[in-house]
Order: sequence, then C-alpha cells, then structure tokens
Amino acid sequence: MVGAMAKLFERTENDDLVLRARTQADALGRLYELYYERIFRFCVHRLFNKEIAEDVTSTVFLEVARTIRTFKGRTVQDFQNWLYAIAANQANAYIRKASRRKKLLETAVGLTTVSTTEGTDNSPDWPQLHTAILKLKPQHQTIVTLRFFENLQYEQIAQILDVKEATVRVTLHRILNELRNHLQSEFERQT
Amino acid sequence: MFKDESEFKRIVGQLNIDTEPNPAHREGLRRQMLSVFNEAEQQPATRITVLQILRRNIMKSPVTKIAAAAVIIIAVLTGIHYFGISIPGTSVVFADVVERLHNARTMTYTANATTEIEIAFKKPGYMRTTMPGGFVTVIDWTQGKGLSTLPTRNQFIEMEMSNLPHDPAQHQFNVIEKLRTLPERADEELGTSEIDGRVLQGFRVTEEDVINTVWIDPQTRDLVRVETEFINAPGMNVVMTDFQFDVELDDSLFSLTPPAGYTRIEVQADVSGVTEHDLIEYLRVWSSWTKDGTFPPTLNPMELQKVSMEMEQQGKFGDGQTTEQQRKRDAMTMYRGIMFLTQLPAESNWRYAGEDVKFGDANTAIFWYRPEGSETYRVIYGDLRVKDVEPENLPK
Repeated sequence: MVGAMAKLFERTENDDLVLRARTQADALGRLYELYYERIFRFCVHRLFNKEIAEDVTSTVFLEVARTIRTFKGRTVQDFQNWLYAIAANQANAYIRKASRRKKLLETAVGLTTVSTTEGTDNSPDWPQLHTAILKLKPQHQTIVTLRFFENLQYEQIAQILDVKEATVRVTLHRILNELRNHLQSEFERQT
Repeated sequence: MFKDESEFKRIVGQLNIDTEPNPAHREGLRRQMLSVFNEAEQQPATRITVLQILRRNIMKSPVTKIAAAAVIIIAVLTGIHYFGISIPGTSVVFADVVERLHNARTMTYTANATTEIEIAFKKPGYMRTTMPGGFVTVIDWTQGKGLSTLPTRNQFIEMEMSNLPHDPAQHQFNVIEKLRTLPERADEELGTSEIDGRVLQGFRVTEEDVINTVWIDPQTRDLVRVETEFINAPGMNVVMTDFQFDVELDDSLFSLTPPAGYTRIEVQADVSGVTEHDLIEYLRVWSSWTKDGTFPPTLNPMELQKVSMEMEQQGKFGDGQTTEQQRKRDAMTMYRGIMFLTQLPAESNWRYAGEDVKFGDANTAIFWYRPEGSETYRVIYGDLRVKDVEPENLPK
C-alpha cells in the first residue's frame, strides 16, 4: 500500500515536472536526467553507432528545449511519447540517406559485441540482425526498436507513432515475416 | 531461425550491445540544452520569407493576375518551407558564423529558386524582397501586414494576415530563429570544395524532408552559401548566397505606405482552418481556367509563376473575362488550396498526379495523402470525388 502510494506520488511529481519544464530550466534539466539514457539507448539501437547516436540524441533534446513551451502533453507519459517520436523522426531522417545507411551497415559490426549464448541454432547474430533491420522501412525499423529493444507495449508504440494499436500489431506481424525471410535468405546464401 | 515474436525477443535479449553513454556528452548536451531553452525565452520573434511574382510583361490575362496575387500570398506564408534551413555548428569554423547570426540586427541575402530574389531582414520583424523587374514586397510580421508594389504598373497590393500563430516557436516563418539553431544540427561534414573561386568548408544538415548544405569560408568565417533540397518536392530547391550582416538598412525601405499615385489591389489572407475541401476547390477553379479543363501541372507554389507564364504563352488559358470580385475570390481559393498542402506534414506522404488529367476523369487519382492518425489515404480523383483507400491500393 505504501509502495503503491509512493509510486502514485512519484508519478504525480514527474507529471508536475513536465508542466513546470515549459517555463523552468531546472525542471527541464531534471527531465533530461530522467530520459537522457533512454533516448541515447534508443538511438544506439536504432543507428548502431554511438557517435551518431550522440548526435541524434543532441538533436532530440535541443528540439525539446526549443519547443517545450508549446508542448501540450500533461503527463510524464506524454513527455516520454513525445521524446520517442522526435527521436524516431530524427533517426529516420538520418537513415533516409542511402549513403548513411551504407555507412551504418559497414560500421556496426565493429561497434557491437555479439553474444549468442545458444549459438547452436541458426539464430542471427547482431550484425546479421541489424543488416536485416536496416532493410525495413524506417517506420518499421522504429517499431522493431521500440518493441524489442525498448520493450514498449503496443499501446505506447501506437501513441508514439500516432496510429492505432491494432495497426502496430498487424504491422509487427508483417515485419517479423519480412525479417525472417531476409535472415533465412541470408543464412541459405552463406551455407 | 525464430518462429514468433517471443523467440525473436529472446534473440534480441541475447545480444550484448554497448549502450553505455559518454558522461562528457551527457553533461555537455545538458548545458547546451538549457542554454537553448533560456535563449528561446529571451529572443524576440523575427521572421523572414520569400516572394515570387509574375513579371509585368506576362501579366496580361486575369488568370495570370490571379496567379500573381495568389503566389504573393502563398509565397509569403509558406516561405519558410523554402528557407527553413539549419546550419551545423559542431565545428569551430561555425563559431563566428553563429555569433554573427545571434547578433545580427540586419541581414541580407540572395535566394535563387526559379527566380532570383534579394531579401533583406531587419529587427524586430521587418523584411523586404526585391524581384527582377523591380517588384518589391515589404512585410511587417509584428503587425501581420505587408505591401507589394509593382512599379511598372503603378499598382500595389496590401496584405493582412490574420490568425497567424501567436507562439513564435510554432511559427513556420521564423527563418532567422532557424538560422540561429543551426549549430546543433550538423550531421555530416563534407570537407572543402572550391565554389565560385573560393575554397569553402561544407556541412550538411538533414531534417524531416529537407537536406541543407551549408558552405562556410574557413578563412573569413563567413556564411557563403546555403543550398536547400526538398526530398519530396523535386524542383523546389533553393540556393542562398550573398549573405551580409548588420548592413545599414534605412527604415524607409520597410515602409508600408504605398507610393503616391499607385492604385490598390487588396488581399486578405486568412491562414486558419484550411481543409481538404480548399484544395479541391483550388483544383476545380484551375481546371475552369484551362481551355481543355486540365488540372495544374504542379502544385508547387514556387513553380506556379513559371507554369502560369508558360501556359499563358501557349494559349492554354481561356479568355478569363471575370469580375474583379471573382478574381479576388479565385485568388483566395488558390491561396487556401496551396496552404492546405503546405500544412500537411511530411508523414502524410502526399502526392500529386494531376498533370494532363482533365476535370471529370473519374478513374484517375490526382492527389492523395494520409491524414494524421489515419490508416488509410484520402484519394482525390479527376471528378473531384474523394475516397478512403488502403495504402496497398494506392496508385503506383
């Protein structure tokens, strides 16, 4: 009971932070501390490169600083959705350029550590997986990242992308089929 | 291979990806963010935009006059789409440029799209554009008023823009503010290149659907050239050059008083509440002007003058015998139709395919877009019917 009340209090306090951040730098600073890591992590997962992820994370928070005065959300959940939406757009804008996508593909291998503990099956490793992910449409890449790397619920992904929850479910089903086909083809090509 | 979502989740869970943040970046970004936040509060809104207008010698028919009036307003109100640029600032080279942008009381530059335009800006919100042929437009964004003069015709157009967003941060026309935010947006360094005999250092900034290439003189720290490319709108590219800061610009250059002896054409532009219906009406009006009932070859307002000129020269418009009142109404219809387009976000994926399609062609889709939050597209056909269509059934 006490824990639940504490959680309720915490939520209310953070919601209040969102409202205050429109006009008060200290509140915005605290929100930044709450969300910097999460957005950075999202960017790394999305872009496979920590330096690029830093650049995009910067763009996201500077955009927030410029526009938060007009942000209409009232809760910390609204704020989080808004952050992810900005981050997704910025990451997509980055990836949209074919040359950058190529660069990402080339560099990601060297920037990640692969750990396939159950390496006896034909599970894809990280380079194979991200290569397949990069072949998806940008928004589909976002969905994969939010769902499997950020572990968000369908409902929240739908809010971030401004689509219906059912759309996310159906789309994700198609995405997984597409990913499986990509990976299967690649596996067969290599063997 | 994974069979379902849970197995895929398991595979992802086995990956060990380094997402440890760099404390220096974290702290540096925090300072930068709060600085931008504080700055945004202190700086007054300043706006700048660009105009295009038909030249005097082709303004013979009511159709092109209407196009001229509409283009003025459209361009004024959508200018930011062509000049909403950003400059990267991660390099030391940009420090002086950024400083200059922050402190500039005045700024002038030349923009070259389909027509060369000279643009001058002065605090707190004045701007002046000069087109070939001496066509001048002055806008006072603080009052929402503008004045265009056509010296060769002894005519002037007064503009009143109502329902502009009150919040500068939401204001689309805030190009100077955009210029000031350039430093944070660099995402690619292009190295040096020789342009017009100068060795310049290039940077690239990619926004939603716009790629800006910025060229700086590394010796003088001058902003030399900005190229803006619109990914989803081929042919709308703009090149900005001849930047000058803090040149003396007399207030008389920004006067809203029309010259003595000029006759008035007044236009009121309401920028609120444009809808799909406004675009449909625009398409209907245009097809009524053309002799063969075809729709406009393009919906790009920056190409409108060129298209109108060419079509006029080719005799594609009817005689255009309309009343002054009708012309004003048509101008507003055009303006609102184009404004609907400019307000569509990039995510709407709008496409226009009306070139050479005649009004009444019920089988040909001429425009489609995805409304915000919708899973289906709104498709407008040649008979101006509208249907909701699944994405997979859109025209190829």
